[in-house]
Amino acid sequence: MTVEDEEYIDIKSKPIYVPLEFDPKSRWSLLIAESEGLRGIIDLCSNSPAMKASNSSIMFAGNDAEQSDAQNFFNNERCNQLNQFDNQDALLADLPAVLANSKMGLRLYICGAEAFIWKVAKIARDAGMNKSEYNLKLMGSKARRVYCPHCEIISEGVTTDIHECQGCNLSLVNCNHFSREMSAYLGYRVDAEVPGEMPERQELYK
Amino acid sequence: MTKVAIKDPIQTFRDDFTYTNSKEAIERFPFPFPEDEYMYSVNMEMHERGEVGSVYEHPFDVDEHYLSEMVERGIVLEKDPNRFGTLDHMDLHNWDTLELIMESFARDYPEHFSLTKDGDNWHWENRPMGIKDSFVFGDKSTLPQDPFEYIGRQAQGDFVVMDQRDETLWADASLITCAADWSIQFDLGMSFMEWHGPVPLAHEKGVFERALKYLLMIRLGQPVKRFNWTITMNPRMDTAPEVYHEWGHERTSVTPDNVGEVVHLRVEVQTLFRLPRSNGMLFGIRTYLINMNDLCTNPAWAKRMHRVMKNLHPEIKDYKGITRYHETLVEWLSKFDK
Amino acid sequence: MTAPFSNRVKITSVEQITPLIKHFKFERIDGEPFLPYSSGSHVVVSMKNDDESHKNPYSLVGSSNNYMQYQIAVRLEDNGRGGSKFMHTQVEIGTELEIGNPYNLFPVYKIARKHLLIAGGVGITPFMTYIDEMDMTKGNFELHYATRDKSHAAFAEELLERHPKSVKLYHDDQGPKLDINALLNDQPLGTHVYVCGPKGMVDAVLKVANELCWPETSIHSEEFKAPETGKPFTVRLHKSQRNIEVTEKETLLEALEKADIEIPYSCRGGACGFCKTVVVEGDIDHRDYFLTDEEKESGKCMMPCISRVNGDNLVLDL
Repeated sequence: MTVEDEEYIDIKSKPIYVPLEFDPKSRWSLLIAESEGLRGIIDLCSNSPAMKASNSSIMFAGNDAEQSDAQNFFNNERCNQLNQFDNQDALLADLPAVLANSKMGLRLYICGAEAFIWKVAKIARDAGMNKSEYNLKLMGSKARRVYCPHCEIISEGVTTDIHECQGCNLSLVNCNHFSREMSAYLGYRVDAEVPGEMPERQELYK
Repeated sequence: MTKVAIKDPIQTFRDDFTYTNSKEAIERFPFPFPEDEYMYSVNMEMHERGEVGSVYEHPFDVDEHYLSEMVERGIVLEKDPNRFGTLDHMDLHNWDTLELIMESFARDYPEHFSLTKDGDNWHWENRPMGIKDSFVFGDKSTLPQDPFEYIGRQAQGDFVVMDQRDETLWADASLITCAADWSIQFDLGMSFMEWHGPVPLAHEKGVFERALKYLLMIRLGQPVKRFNWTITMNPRMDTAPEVYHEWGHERTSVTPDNVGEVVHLRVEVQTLFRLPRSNGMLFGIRTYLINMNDLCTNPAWAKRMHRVMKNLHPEIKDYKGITRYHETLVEWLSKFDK
Repeated sequence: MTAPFSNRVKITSVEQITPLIKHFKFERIDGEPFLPYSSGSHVVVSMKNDDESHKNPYSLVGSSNNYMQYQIAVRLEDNGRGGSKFMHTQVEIGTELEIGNPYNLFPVYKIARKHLLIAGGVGITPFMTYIDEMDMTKGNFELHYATRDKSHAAFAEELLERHPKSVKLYHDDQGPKLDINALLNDQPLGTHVYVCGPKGMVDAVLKVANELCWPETSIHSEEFKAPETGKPFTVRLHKSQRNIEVTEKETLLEALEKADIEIPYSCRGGACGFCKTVVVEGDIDHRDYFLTDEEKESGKCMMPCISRVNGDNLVLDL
């Protein structure tokens, strides 16, 4: 397994990503992507001659142009089924029922923004899937969901290392400690020791 | 068998900080440093019945601070009920935990606790807290709270109840009101490697792999223990990230004059018990606090404390939040190590 | 230190429940209650008389809530090494034995959405405690139990009475046959399969589960097999400077115990890791499931309960 990002991993709970790889010991594949993640799905299919289109289905969320691309891809590959959604939330709402009707032997290939892919993983786990049954690849926005232990609210779309909590407005720094259950990173008050004293914020997670 | 005299009136771990250690408490304090230098290691030992009067005499230690700590726990849970959390599949584990602690207390401190059983009909008395309850073992509706929360509110120290599966341990239920700076709401449901993610250095040394393998083999009736430590300002029990903004500033309040009173060594005696019906594990984190003045009444401890602090690895210093006042502390301790 | 906390027990009941299986109940000699245990647990029973001694693991059956009694069910093995024969011929009401504390190598996977239990013959035993847990947690399960014929299906009546909809029996001599392929082909996500029984059945289920692409984490098995025998050899103990003969029919662990050398142990089947022993010299014939590939290759340690040596040279750090 190779680490794609060269960045130093200081906290072992931080997710690391590898290119999606087809699992030959599988019976059906469900490819789940949003927006830029379509690229990852396409790459997976072109790199996996063993992957049977007839056993592969796609769930995709994106804008009109992106959905058009997805349609083309689906037509070319002659996959089993394509379900398109105008936004992520609609896809995530539909997924539990799809998994409830699925059988042992299914594998998921999930690609898109970091927040999205981990929400999908959580739904997969809630359906009883083990992490060996789904694969994640980040493609697109690295913007973080950040959990605030002070007010217990999760802020969405955080691209800087320091931000104001969307729940309680305290200034939080987020670290690389990641909760798969919450699909979020841990934040904590950056200026708890000396209120007001904080380093300059940097945009790190676009 | 030593009887424990529980302090009444209670002392506080916040606001006015009236907490003190008696001479006996100082003597039995679990000083954690066997050497002049400190580095992470697996350092697990059998948790067998220890020396009479010591903190290891019984599997679960009740000391003079019992009532004070239970009141403190009540305060924390009142403000933040989510310091107790449990996932759906943990009922069996939580009953196991209640049984283990109740039986231990009733056996080891009969002057304070009694447990009688008539089949599944149990009767429990906790005299220091004025509790008398009858309930049906296994039937949650017969207790005022989840069994783990119920007994956790009557036992000193924090607890994590773990499920064992996929060759690792999962923190699937916990009661944490004296966290040394980690968030259980965030960590609930994490695997062993995940929740230890933030600990520096230890991963490179393979400490966690070895520790986990050892833990997975712990047998019924053969608990193990290890130590962890950090430094806390004032005898503050609740140093969770949730309330970091309430206590963080204290780290800036250390001066050469107040080190002896304000700087506390915080030692966790961590115990691990295999749970019988669920095959899970109970992780107990029993916290002991002592200020530098009291600690240094023991010359050997004072000397060692100085050396360990002086030689502390910068990453460990940082992770434990000591950096800001480290120099002041070492300077103050140096007078005991001439 | 042998099995931690050996408990001295006395047999209180012996019942022949099928032509090959005897059901034993026992209590502690000191009158104290037993420890409760988790579903799938076993205890190692130590049996001896003047001529022979055996230590075999047996699954606990019977409710964990009956603190004063433990129960096991033992199948008579014709080609065994004598332990089950001892139980069947030498053990009666009043016989005293020693047992270790319960240990579990076959626990219920707590977050499975469905539990698919497949038992063959005496392999039903761990599932008796599973049923108790399913009752308590209202778990979603199916039990498929295959035996050569009705008379050999231990506990069948009780099982059918408790769970008529979830328990299915299969007999080789008549009626529908257990179709493993059909069974595993059509299970919803989150199903875990557990199999316990003779080697052939366990192997068959594992093979089909793999072919049908069940992930390893969803497949659980327990096999009761006696350690295979092998060529006799001599083991040299480095520290105590002793030579011990290991005969064809006994394991290295048994030979050491016979020579009064105590090694920690638990499952006696190569799975738990307790008897791990440091090797000074020797080309080890690893037969266990515990050591990693690196550890096996390094040759620095071995599991004496099941592994042996290639050739005749073995030196242990004992």
